[in-house]
Amino acid sequence: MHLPTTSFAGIRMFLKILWMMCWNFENNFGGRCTKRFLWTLAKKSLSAKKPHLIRLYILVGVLRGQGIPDVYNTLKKTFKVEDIDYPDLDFWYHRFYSGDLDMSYDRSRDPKPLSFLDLDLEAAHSILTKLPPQDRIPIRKVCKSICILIHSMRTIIDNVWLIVSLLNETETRFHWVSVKHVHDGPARSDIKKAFDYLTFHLNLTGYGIDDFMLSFPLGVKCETIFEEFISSLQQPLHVRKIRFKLCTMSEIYLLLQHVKPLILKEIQKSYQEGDDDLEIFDKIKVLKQWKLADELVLPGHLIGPVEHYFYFKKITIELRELRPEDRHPIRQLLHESTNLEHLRIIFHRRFTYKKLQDLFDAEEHGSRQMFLRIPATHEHYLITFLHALLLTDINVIRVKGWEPMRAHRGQRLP
Amino acid sequence: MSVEPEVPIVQVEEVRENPVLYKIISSDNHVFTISEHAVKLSKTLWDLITNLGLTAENALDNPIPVENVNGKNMETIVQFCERHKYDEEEPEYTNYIREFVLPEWDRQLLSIDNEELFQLILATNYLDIQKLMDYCCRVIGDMAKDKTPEELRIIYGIPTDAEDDALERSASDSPGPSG
Repeated sequence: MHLPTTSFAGIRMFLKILWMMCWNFENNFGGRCTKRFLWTLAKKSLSAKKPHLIRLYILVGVLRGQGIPDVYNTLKKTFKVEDIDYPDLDFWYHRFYSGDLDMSYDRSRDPKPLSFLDLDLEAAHSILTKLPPQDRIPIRKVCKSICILIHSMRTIIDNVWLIVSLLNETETRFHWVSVKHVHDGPARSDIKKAFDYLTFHLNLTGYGIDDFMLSFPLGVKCETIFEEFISSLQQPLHVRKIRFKLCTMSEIYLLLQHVKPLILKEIQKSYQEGDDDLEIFDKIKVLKQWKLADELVLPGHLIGPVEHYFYFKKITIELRELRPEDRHPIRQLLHESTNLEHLRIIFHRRFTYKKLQDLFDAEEHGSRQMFLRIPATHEHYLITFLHALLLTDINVIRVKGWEPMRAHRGQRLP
Repeated sequence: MSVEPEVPIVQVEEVRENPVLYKIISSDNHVFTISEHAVKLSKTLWDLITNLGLTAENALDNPIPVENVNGKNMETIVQFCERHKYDEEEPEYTNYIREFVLPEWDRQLLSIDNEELFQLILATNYLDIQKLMDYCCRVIGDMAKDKTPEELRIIYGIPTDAEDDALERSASDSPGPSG
């Protein structure tokens, strides 16, 4: 490894000599223009050596352990942007980095360098798919061909949660950014802001969501804002899992209509009661989107005719009360549903063993796996109940304690 | 009482120490030796080997010419394949964006300038090495993080639409080889 021929000390020395020459020249011959003339000469000689100087700056950056962006920023401060050729900087940086410090290498004989646009379509597509969604937005503006390429691919965002809170903030959370709208209670303007923010992103071309959660606290009504949000959606939502937390039935219905059916795999639903719930639920049940989801989380008293649930592989039923009319559909569901692989039942109230036994007539179970959640404080019910179940072919695979508040808020089960 | 037949137990490590080797010739006539496990990472090369019917006996006598890849890129590719030959298969490609940190060894291997990286991508694409392609694309993608469109144009050497149109126009205006 040999040291470069030019160094900062050399440049400083050169400038010093130049300055001394100016000084002596002016003292001897006088005249204002002398200094300016000599300075112009010096600048010319410097600009002739500009590429060499730039390489020197790059070398210093490498020796200091700076990255390419840092070196580029340093160069931008010193030289004009048009004097800095980024591919050239990139070339020299990596050359110096690999230990080759020869600055006199002539690149003019090298073949024309490859650029991003020289890559084939498959490779360019592959690079762009590796970009996180937030970086795809600026890159769309780079040129038309990249914009077309990005529009042709679908990005899956991990999570989008819109939580309208009774506390002092409403949060719109994407997996990469979180925007909080602070307010005193759920003010309508702040909820609207949150929805506007959400609409903006959902309308971007080629966007999809893995987990979309819409959450409202009890008592919050914002139907008009929600309807505006729905009407401003310009494309069907590509959502894999959709969670409604304490939404109204009409909100669930409206949003489900905008979800692209084939992609939806899971629906979780807890809701706040309205006037025409069962009527709207009848509409929801016939939606294609509803039928194509594999997993459903459902409050017990919403269970209607069994044929609406046949296509679900996983069902979670939340039971708050045991009504005689619920008993038959649940039993029928367990018995007749051939697709059902997992059934989870959350008990939200204290039920007597007699009631449980009435609800689950052991002989009628058809489910292969069953998850149970029963309050830990009522183990004596549980033990007797399990004893009854174990006599059957049901495979009880998980029994856990239950935290009433968490379950009430509709938290997701483990 | 039944006697179990004596089966020679071949340790995995033993197999690793005695691999079948193949010879590859790059476009600039550099010769590289690569093990069977490593060459399997390249679908193109492995298809070629199986189609040519190369076996452990004749593998070294029949070098495989690869016209589209130069020696420098081939060296990187061979190093990468040898390093990752025993890696477990990655889960199927999904469209999800996940946090991913490039391993240190691979980061060092791929710290080359953009042009070389683009050449390596083309070579990798030709040889169909999914993992290396994935890593190269991530390196390029990482450069684009937190950059403005203008900066991206500079980094990737992409002309603006106006410049591009002007270039196309001048190309169409200029007389062709016959004219």
